[in-house]
This record gives sequence, structure tokens and C-alpha cells, in this order.
Amino acid sequence: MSQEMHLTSPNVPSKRNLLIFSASLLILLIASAFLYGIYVFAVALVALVSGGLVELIFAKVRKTELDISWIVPPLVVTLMLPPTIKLWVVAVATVFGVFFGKSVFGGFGKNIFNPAVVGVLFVTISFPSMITAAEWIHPSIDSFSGATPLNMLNAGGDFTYSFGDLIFGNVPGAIGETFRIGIIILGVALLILKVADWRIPVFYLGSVLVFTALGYWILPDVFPDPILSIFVGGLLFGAFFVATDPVSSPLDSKGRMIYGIGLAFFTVLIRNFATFQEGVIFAIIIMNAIAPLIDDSLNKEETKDEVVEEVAQ
Amino acid sequence: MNKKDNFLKGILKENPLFVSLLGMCPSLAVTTSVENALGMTVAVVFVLVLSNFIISLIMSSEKLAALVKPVRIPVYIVVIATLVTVVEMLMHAYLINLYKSLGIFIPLIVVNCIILGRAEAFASENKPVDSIIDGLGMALGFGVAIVTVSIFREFLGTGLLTIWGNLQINLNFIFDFLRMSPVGMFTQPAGAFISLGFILAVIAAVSAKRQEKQLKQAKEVKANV
Repeated sequence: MSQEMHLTSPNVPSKRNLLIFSASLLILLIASAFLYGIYVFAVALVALVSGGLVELIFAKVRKTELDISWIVPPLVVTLMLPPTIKLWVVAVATVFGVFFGKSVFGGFGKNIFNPAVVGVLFVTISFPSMITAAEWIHPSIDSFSGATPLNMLNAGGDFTYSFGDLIFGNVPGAIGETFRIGIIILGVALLILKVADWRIPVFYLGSVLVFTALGYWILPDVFPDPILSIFVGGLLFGAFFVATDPVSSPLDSKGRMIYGIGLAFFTVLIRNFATFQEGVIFAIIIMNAIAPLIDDSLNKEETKDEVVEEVAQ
Repeated sequence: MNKKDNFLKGILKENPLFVSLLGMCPSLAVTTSVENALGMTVAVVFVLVLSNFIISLIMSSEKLAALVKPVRIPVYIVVIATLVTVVEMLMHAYLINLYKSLGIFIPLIVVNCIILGRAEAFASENKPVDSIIDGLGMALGFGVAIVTVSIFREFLGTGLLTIWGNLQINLNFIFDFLRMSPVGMFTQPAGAFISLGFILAVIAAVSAKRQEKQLKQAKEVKANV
């Protein structure tokens, strides 16, 4: 029995938190339907059905109950994919993410990696032509455009999108990442309601600002404008909704600060020096893998005592 | 143990890759296409059968065995390295394309733990003929395993199955029928780990179920007695 307890993360979100979190994801989805059309609901439906099926089969096989948490990974996957995505890619991403990211580890609260990010990462690496070089819908002129604000900023040329468009989502981008004013308001609401820990987004975004500003100061040819770099790509969505997942992030507050700084480091590194344009999902996967090590190195003596006590008992 | 059991145990019961998890490095690295896996199998069959034979010859003569025993690992390595060098030169001369695509993994057969493991665990204590049979069974078991992994990886990664040279089966119509495209990640190292892990999990599940059944039967037999 005690072994079972150790396998589950100590801060599994409660049902209330999950419901609030899913509701805010749904609001973002509805907002993106105004920007990119009704097709986003089809994407969400495919993701929910395929992810739900995997969890249902898993619950049947393991003879556990299907808890409410099944709704979160499919919605996050939906919001991180481009709006012109083919439906079968959505199904592949969700099934892979939920199965290899969550079910094989034993289900909710036992996963090392964020299941949604595992799925998105899998399709990003497997089908780069459909994800990173997708045909992005431009909402205001209602046509396709090759360059998202992130591509434009990374390319280093003129930045033609206005800041207002960037904030209100009037730009090409992934389904859930462009309605930035909504992401910020909902994200802050989540922090106030204590659904997510404030340290992760604050340290993540703050460190991205600091690292990019430092880079911009030293190597202005390589690094983009630090303020704009916060408002392009999936950084805000990733910081407020994905990185804050309490199961796969470190346990205590000090660890979460380090986690945020590490996320920022890898994001800036991949955005500016790697072949992939967006570094958020890679950074989250890398830091998910490092999170247990952060916990371990911070509580070395504590865990040792626990082990000794257990042995003594 | 008769000769048939001796041969079959390498393929099924003591399969070096699927059961003992030996030789992971080449099996993850060369399984990108069926052709590479088959080439690796041929090389491993040659090296393992001959090394088992030679080592068991050395160890079956009492005088030599007494002399070799304290330094047997270096002796094994010398025998194996000689055979691997022969394979490498033969491949370089006659199968230049395979030689190029296998690359560093041909010389690395020297440190493949299956070969050294069989030399120490079987050939040093058994007769030459038995050792040849054991080597053949183990090498073929390894071959079956890496070909299985490579079929998964090549089909899922590219939609093709390259058997040998120009002999290539195009299975892309399955992906076309499903309106999908091949999943490129399976040709990369991460895909190797995922597919090998998945195959191992299925095998473990099947064997666990079989064991359960056997236990149940044994219990029933006991109850009847």
C-alpha cells in the first residue's frame, strides 16, 4: 500500500481545480473559434473522442474508475496545434500523448511528462511539414499566410504585426496561443484561485525576458526584441496553462522557481539557436525530465530521514 | 538437453534480445531498415557460430584450458576480434552498400555482449558440436528479434520494407487508404526505443498470461490428486 502512495505525485489537483482548469481551456477554445472558424471544434471533438477512448480502455483493463482528468490532455493538445491541422494528426497526437505520456505510467497523478506535450512533441517531430511549416490562417484578411509572428521575429526582418493585433489574437498562430489577452486574464485568475502555482509562470516569463534582454544587449543580431518575444508563439499559453501542471512540475516552491528559470533557458536557447522555431514544448519536456532531480537535490536530507524511518518501522 | 532443444532455446525461451535484453546497442542502431537488420544477422551468425566453435575447442582440451582459464576474457576477445575483422573485410569487398550503411556497427560486434556471453556461459563448458548449435540458435534468435523491430520501424517510419538491395516492398497504400502519412519519428533513435519497448511489453504480457494459466493448471492437477 505504501508503495502505491509513493508512486502518485503528492500534489494531484483536486476535482474543483480540474473543472476550473478545463473551463478556462474551453473559453480559450471558443475564443479561437471566433478567430479561426468553426473547424477548431472538429479538432477538439476528435481529440476528446480519441483521448477519451484510450482512457476508457485503460480504465477497463486496469479496473479503475474513469476520473474527470481525462478531459484536460485532449483540450491542451487541441489548443497547441495549428488551426489547419488534419484531423488524423490530432488523433495520433492525442492517442500517443495519452497512452505513452499517461496511461503506461499508471494514469492520473503518476505521469512524469505532461501527456499533452508528449503528443504534440511526437507529431511535431514526425510531421514537421504539417506543424511547424503549416499554412497558418490569418484571421483578419481571412487567407493563408506563411509566417507567424514568431517566424517573423526569429527571421530578424521587419516585424509588421501591430501590438494590438498580437494581444487580441488577430494574427496567425496555433489554435489556443493567439488570444493572448484572454490567456493572461484567465491565467492570472487561475493563479489567484490557486489552481496553478504563481511561481512557475512568473519565473518562466521573467527569465525569458531577462535572458532575451541580455542576449539582445550582447548579440543584437541573434536575439529578438525581448518584450515582443514574450508575446509571440506559444510562450504565454505554455507558461500559464501547460508548465503549471502540478503533477509533472517540482514539488516545493524553491524547486518551482528553478523549474521556471530552466524552462526559460531552454526556450530561449531553442528559439534562437535550433532548427525548430518554437522551443516551449521542448523546454517543458526537458524540464519535466529534470523535475524529479530538482526535488531530489533540494530535499536530500529529508528523504534520507524518511527512508531511515521506514526501515526502522 | 537434446540438440533440438539446444537450438530452439536461443530463438524462443532464451532469446538474447527479447528475454535477456543483450545486444541492445546494435539492435537499436541498425534496425532502421530490414536490409540492415538482415545484414547484421548474417554477420552475427558467422561470428557467433565460429567463435563458439573455436572457444569450445580451446576449452575442451585440458592442457589448453588450464593455461587459458586465468586469462580467458582476453583470449575470447582475440578470437572474436579476429572473426569480426574477417567479416568486416569480406563485407567491404563484396557487400559495399551494406558495409557503408552498417558502418561502425560491424567492428562493434566485437563488444556485443551476446557473443562474449555465449562464449563464457556455454561454449567454455560444452562440446564443440553443441556449441555450434547453441551459437546458431542464439544468432538466429537475435536475428529474428532485430528483424521484427526493423519491420515495425521501417514500415511505420517510411511505409517501405527494404528486403535486400532493390527488392523493396512498398506498403504506402495502407497509409494512403487511411489518408495518413508515415510517422517519421520511428526512423529516429527515439522511435527505436518506443518500438522495442512496446514489443517487449507485449511479449511480457503474453508470457505473464501463459504463466498464470500454467499455475492454474498445476493447481487443478494438485487438487485432483
